[in-house]
Amino acid sequence: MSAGADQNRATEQGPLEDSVVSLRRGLWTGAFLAGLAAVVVGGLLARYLAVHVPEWTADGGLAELGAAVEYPVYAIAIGLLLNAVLAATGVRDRIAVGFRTEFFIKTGLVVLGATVLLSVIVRAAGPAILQGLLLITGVFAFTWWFAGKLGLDDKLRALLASAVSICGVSAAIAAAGAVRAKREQLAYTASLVILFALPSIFILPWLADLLGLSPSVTGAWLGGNIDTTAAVTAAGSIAGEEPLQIASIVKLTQNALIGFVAVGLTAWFAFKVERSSEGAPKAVELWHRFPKFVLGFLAASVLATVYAEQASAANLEQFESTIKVFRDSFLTLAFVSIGLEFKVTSLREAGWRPIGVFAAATLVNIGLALALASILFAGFTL
Amino acid sequence: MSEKSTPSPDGTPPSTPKADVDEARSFALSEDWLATIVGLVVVALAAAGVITADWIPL
Repeated sequence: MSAGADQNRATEQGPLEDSVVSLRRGLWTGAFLAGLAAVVVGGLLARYLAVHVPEWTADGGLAELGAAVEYPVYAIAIGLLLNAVLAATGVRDRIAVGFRTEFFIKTGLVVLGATVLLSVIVRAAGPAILQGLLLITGVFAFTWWFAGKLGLDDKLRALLASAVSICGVSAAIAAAGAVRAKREQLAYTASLVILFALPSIFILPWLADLLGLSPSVTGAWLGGNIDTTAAVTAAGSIAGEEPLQIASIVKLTQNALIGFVAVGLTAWFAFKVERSSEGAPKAVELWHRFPKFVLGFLAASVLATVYAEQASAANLEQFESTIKVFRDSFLTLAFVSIGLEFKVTSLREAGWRPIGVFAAATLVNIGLALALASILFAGFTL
Repeated sequence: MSEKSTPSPDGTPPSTPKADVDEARSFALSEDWLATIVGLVVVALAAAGVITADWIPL
């Protein structure tokens, strides 16, 4: 297959196929570097605005608004703006291989682990696991049932249910591998995830404030119901430092449960839906599907906890400020990438039924996550 | 793609070839490990005082 043909396919397909194509074409190409450069330029601009807009608006009537808008808002807005400009000039799809949202968000989350004391993770793990299990089970079951009522294909039902109940695009990719979904199904599931995640980044922190939720309940709610890890981090950053830490722990707990769902889906489709002769999935699949950056998050927390006990106050202060600047930088690049990656073309082909299922499942997710977070994280403090 | 995918007789799109899924999964995992290593290196260098907040422009 020619490079040009490969490129055309990459523009029509979802993240799975994009990954395969980019792997084949080699990462260190001009297209990759150009895409990466667009992300970095967008990130620098977002940081510049986040630092200087409050200064520019300090003396005017927009002082409150200027101080309230956090860096994720600038980063996503700039990403969407760059997206429109690059798409209009026909460049975007050619350099999309450089928009590495997953890499930036995972690196940012590993660094974020160094801002969370190990004792907090240990205390939050119990309620986070319980919330994750109940949410995944409840939202997956509802989405599967409702999608079946609307007559959707079983493979699409599995993708939608995994994406909305676990962790968005990553879960959809894992589910696509488990049930061998059609590439179009994966593409528009990924688009639906981003379509619903973008407004939730801004609406849910505002709603949490309106409802008077505590920082921990806010974090657990955001981490539990927003689908993609990147969007959870963006919403958590807008809500504050404590909600960000709790939201990250809750979301990473859900990420860690991907393996169990993927293995369950593989077995279900092998034995019940397709009755194939490939046999049951092996236990090693759990390790293969486990998101390894969760281990990095824990290791960073251990490192930081040990360092905090030994370092002088001055060194600890410098360490903490350094970690936060690097964490926010990686997350800024991830948020710019989210804006750059957003595409509506695959949604046009999906029809209203998958969108209706996703919308209904999102509402159930929001309600159930709020109830569980309010119960399990009531009185929880860092 | 690693195996030629043709539409089925009823006109539905082909499933994602298993080899492609495996390949994409291994790529995603290697990106997973890369993110883990880069993140931990940043934390270690910050703890050692090698990198500081000044390293990031703006």
